[in-house]
Order: sequence, then structure tokens, then C-alpha cells
Amino acid sequence: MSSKKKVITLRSSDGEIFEVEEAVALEWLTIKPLVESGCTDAIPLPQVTGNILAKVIEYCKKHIGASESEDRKILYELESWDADFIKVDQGTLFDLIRAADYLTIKTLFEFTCQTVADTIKHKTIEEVRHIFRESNDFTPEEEKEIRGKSWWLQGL
Amino acid sequence: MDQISELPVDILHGIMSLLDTPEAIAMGVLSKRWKCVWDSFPVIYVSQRDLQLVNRGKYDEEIAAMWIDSMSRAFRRLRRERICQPRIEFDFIFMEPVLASALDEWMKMAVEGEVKELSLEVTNSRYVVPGAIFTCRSLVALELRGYGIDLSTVMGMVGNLPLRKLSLIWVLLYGTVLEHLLHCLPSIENLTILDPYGVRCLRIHNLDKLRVLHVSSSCEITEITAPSLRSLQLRHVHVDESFIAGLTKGCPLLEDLQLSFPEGLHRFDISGLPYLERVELASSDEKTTIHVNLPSLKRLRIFQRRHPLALQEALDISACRQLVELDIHTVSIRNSRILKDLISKFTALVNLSLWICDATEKVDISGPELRDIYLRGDNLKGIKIDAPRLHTFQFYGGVTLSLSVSSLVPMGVSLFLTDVSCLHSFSFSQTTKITMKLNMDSLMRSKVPEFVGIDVLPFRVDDLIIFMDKQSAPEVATSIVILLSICRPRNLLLNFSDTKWDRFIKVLYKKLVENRVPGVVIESLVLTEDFNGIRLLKIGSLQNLTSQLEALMDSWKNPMDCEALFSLNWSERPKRCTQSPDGSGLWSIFAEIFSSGLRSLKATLPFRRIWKRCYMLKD
Repeated sequence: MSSKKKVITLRSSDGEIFEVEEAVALEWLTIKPLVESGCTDAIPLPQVTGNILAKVIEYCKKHIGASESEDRKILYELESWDADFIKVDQGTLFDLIRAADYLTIKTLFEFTCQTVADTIKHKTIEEVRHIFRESNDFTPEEEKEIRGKSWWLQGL
Repeated sequence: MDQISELPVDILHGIMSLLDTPEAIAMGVLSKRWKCVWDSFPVIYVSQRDLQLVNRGKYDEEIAAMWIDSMSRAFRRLRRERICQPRIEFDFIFMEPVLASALDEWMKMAVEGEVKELSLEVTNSRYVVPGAIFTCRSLVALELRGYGIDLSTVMGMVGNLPLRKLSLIWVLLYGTVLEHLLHCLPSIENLTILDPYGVRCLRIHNLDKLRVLHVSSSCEITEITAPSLRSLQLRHVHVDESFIAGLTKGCPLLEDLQLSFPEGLHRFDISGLPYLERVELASSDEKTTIHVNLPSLKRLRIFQRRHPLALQEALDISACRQLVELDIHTVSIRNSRILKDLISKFTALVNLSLWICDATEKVDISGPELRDIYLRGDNLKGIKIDAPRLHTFQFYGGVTLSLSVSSLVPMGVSLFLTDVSCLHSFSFSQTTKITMKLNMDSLMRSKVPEFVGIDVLPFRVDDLIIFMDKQSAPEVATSIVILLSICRPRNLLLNFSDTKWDRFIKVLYKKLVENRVPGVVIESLVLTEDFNGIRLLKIGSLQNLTSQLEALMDSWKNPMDCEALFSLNWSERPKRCTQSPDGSGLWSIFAEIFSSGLRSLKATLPFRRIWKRCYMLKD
């Protein structure tokens, strides 16, 4: 066996304990300084719940080193893995975005935001409202006014 | 959290910036919350492409007027509401007078709205950039792109402009425009000049804060004096020996140097830059000698295609003791001893890539840290590697395809792997088919049972990649089966260059079953559709396979449009309910799917305890 890798302990908001390899934790810019300082206690992450943290760790573990690979096959496999990974309900997706933002994990943040943007693209306003369960709180007059200002919105 | 609008505003801005402007504006109509989000959105992207989208390619004054009006509203908002750190991008293809005056107005409003980053592209018509942009106190980064950009207003400027980052791409810079501009930019930190027109000669001096300089132009650079410069990238520029010698004095803090040689520079001699860690050289077609004397250097890449660099005589890098990465394309080695001695000096070397082009027949490489080795050599016959940490070894045999296979057999490409405990990737490419055949020809003379003792092999192969040629004959299938039993790769990738691969796979499959490669039993079949994984179907057992496949095929709306991954899983231990499946039935189903026009196929075969995969990709 290869030499033992350094492990970092993390504690989620609901008190769950997770262990990740140091290399993974170093990609999380928010806790990077703590990791580098050789902190051995469990790092508390009060903004991330256990189930979300588990997903984040799963993603980062899969991606570490693999994203930079030029091997077509690895990238190709990673892509379909990603697509599978992101098949989650909206709440989880938004929580993932939040966690990625809070922990400053660039790859995960970009990926999750792009997933949301892709959902919005090429949809009418009504469709987007429906997808995100966003209720229209404009009065009909207000909406007419806003739509009128942006002429290309009329078709949407 | 269930509502997207509960996300913090800056995250929503991030998502909006991934949309086109009309789509981003449309988001502002969703609800009051979203209107607030749009109202504070710091990016304005003005693109004529939006205009053309609704305009069906024609210039329509009425629509243009409406477009200008909505964009103007966005700029007025910017000015009125003091959005922090705004970024504006303009993208114009043609410039009608009415558009030009609107753009002038927007520029003015951008300056008043304290724009921080601005990018302007004008491709097909002329546009005079207003001088106010350069004197704007808030502007930090400016990018100007396109032949249409006219910088004549710069000539009237004096004093210190606040810009820190400037990119000029395909801009007409006739006369002394550039010189004058640089003179006014004492606080510039990052300067990019790509393929300008009209620049003959460039002199960089008195730019004390400049950290990054990137120039791509056929102009001549006479001097670079930039005491803070860290990164220098020069492409196609004309420099001479004295310029390179002058770098020591002009840019003492240089960390990264990328240089493509001009014609006529025959000697590259660099030393005395204590912080230089990375050097990349691409030389011209002429004969060059390179002497690098930089003990701090970590990464060195040299591209010299036409005239290989003779090691020792034309290429002296022995002083770079801290090298981590070395990439030379191409090098000529008189004898393998020289190379061995040189490489053994670089005790920290991790990545080594060499294209060896002369008649050297043997290469002997050793290094305690070596992880990735890439070798390419036309005449290499023997490679010996002593690298305990080897992770990836790639060898590209340069044998031309016109050579007949039989003439290659006696030579053979031999590969020695010493002390390799963990080899993850083992790939042959390009001429691989010949290489593999060579191995197979010799293997085929032996019989399968002789390879029973395969467990004593010193290494374990994770990936085995075989490029198949057109004559994927049944014998090749036998060879592959044998090879599989020797290498026991986790992943096998078969790359087919013709369309008869499905027949070959059939043969291979049959052989696998016939030869009973240790414990190969088909256990389950996984079919995955679409690279983006929109749909994934796993079939756990082979029972009812036909109906499951039919259901899958029905669910494909149009097989012509999708690419599919097929995974075939083999496992070592027969499970309770596993029967040896009827191969012909299985393959007839496959054939049916293939004939419906699918373009690619991927199959997974797990051997033994670990899952081993077989990918079959067809482009």
C-alpha cells in the first residue's frame, strides 16, 4: 500500500462527521488556509447539511485530477457521471450551489450554475416561472409596462 | 431551500451572466424579486448578434431604433443606480451612423456609470473610440478588438492614464499610436497586443508596474525594460541574440518565458534570471542552438520540428538541475548513454516527453520521480525504463505504415518495464496496430495454457488501448483474447477505423466465450444513451433482454441523432442465476440497433474481481 494520505475531518451543520483527503480539501478555498495550517480538529461547516456535504465530497473526489486530464475517455466518462450526479431535485441543486459558493469550490459552482442556466435557456417566461415555481407578483398593468419596455420580450 | 430566488443576489447574477442579454432581461420579468436582481445586474453585454437574431439578418431601421432604445435604457440604469463594478461588453459587426452615435452615447454613459471593465469589438466598419474611455478613472481593464477600432483620439492625450489592463487584438495601430499610448500608461500591469496592423517596431520601457506582457506580431522588439515583469510571451516577433541577453537586466524578476523564434535567430543562450521557472521555445525552421543555464528552471518545452536538436552539441540544458517537466520535440541523440546521463541528472523530473528522430535504437531512461513518459521515435527498437513511480507510459512508434508487417517482425519493438509496481495507463497509438500485431504474432505461436502463470507479471495494466486496422481478422480476435489474459486490463479500448467493427466484436465475443478467458461470464448489460446522460438504463440480468432492448429502442425517438454507449459486463464468478447467454441472439439484437444508425458504442467488460472494461468507440 502507498503511504497514508492525510485526512481532514469536517463537521456539517447537523453534526455529521466527514473525512476527506487533504488534496480534496485544498480545492475548497474557504477552508484551504485552515487545512494548510495543519488543523487537526474537525472543521465546522455551519452552512452545509450532512446530505449536501456528502454530495459535495462525492463530486470533488470524482473530479480531483480528472478534470485536467486530456484523455478523451476519462473526460467522456466524467461527463456522463456529472450528468448523473446532477439529476437531483431543485432544492438539492440550489443547496449545492450555495454550498459550492460558501466553500468556494470553483468547478462545482460553475457546473451547478450552468445547469440552472441551461434549464432557463430557450424557454418562455411562463415556462421559466413554472419550472422554478416562481409566482408572478406583478399586477397585469405592471407586467404590461415592463414587457413593453423590452420589446423582444413580447414573443416570450 | 426550494425557491431559486432565495439564492443570494450575487449567485443569481452569476447565473444570469451565463444567459444571453435578452434572456437575462426576460428573467427580470418573472417576479418583483427577479426585477430587483436584474436591476442590480452588473454586466451589460451589447451584441449586434441579438439584433440580428430578431432581425433575420437584415438591417431594419425600426428594429434597430427599438434595440438602441432598450440598450440605452440599460445604460441609463447603470449611470443612475451606481451598480458596483460594472462590466460592459460591446460586440459590433457593422456600424451604421445611427449605431455609431448610439455607441458614443453608451460609452459616455458607461464612463459616467463608473464602468470597471469594458470590452469593445468592431469588426467590419470603422469606429473612433472616444478619448473619454481612456481617461475614465474607474476603468481598470479595457479590451479593444477588431480592425474597425480607430484609436486616433489617443494621439491628443497626455499624462497618466489609470488603466491597469489593456488588450489590443487585431487593431490598426499605424504610426506612433501605440508608442504614444504606452507612454501614457505608467500604471499598466497587463498588456496584450495580438496581431496588430501597422506595427513595425516595439520598444517597452519605463513600464515599472508591468507584470504580464503578451505580444503576437511580426514586428521587431528592440528593448523590454520592465522591472516587475513576471510573464513574457512573444509570438512571431523579431528579436536577436542581444535582446535575449538583455532580458537579464531588463526583466530580472521574470518567472515565465514563452517565445517563438523568428527567422534568423540561430542561437538562444539564456542565463542569469534567478526566478525563471518556465521556458517554452518554439523555433523556426532553421538550425538553432539552445543553451539554457537556469538552475531554478522547473519546466522546459522546446519545439523544433524541422531540424532536430542534437543533444549536447545543439542543446545544452544540463545546468537545469531542478527540472520537473521536460518536453523536447524533436531531439537527436548520438548514443543512448548521453540521454541516460542527462536524464539522471534531473532527479526531480516528473514529466518527460521526447520525440527522438534519429537512428538511435535503444533508449534507457531512469529517474526516481518520473511519473509520465511520452516517447516517440521512428527507429526505436528497445526502451528500458527504470522509474519506480511510473504512472503513464506512452509510446508512439513512428514506423511508417508503408512498411510491411512481416518486415517489422524481426525487429520488434521491445518494451522493458523494470521495478514498475503500479502502471495505470499503457497505451499504444498510431502505429499500434502494427505494434500490437507484432506482439500478437509472436503470442499466437504459443497456446493459451502457457499463460496460466500470468499472476506473476510485475505490473497490472489499467488501460489497454488498441487501434484496430481494417483487416480485423478472426486471428486478431484470438490475439486480443490472449493479450487480455496476459495484461488483464481494467479498461480495454478498441478503436475501429472502419465500419465492420460490429462483426469483429461478434467474433471477439465468441472467442472470449470459447477460450474461456478466466471466468468470463456475461452477467449483465448496461445500455446508456446520450453522452450527457439524459437517459440511462441498466439491465440487471440477461433474462428478458430482448424485450428490454426493444423497449429501449422504442424510447429512442431518433437513433440517428443520438450516440449510445453500450456496456457489456462480464464478471468472474458466475452468480446464482447466470447462464451462459446465447451469443448469437444477443448479437442479432445489437446488429439491429447498429443498423438503425447509431454512431458510437461503448462496452464494459469486468474481468475477475475488479471490473474490467472494454470500450469500443466508433467515431
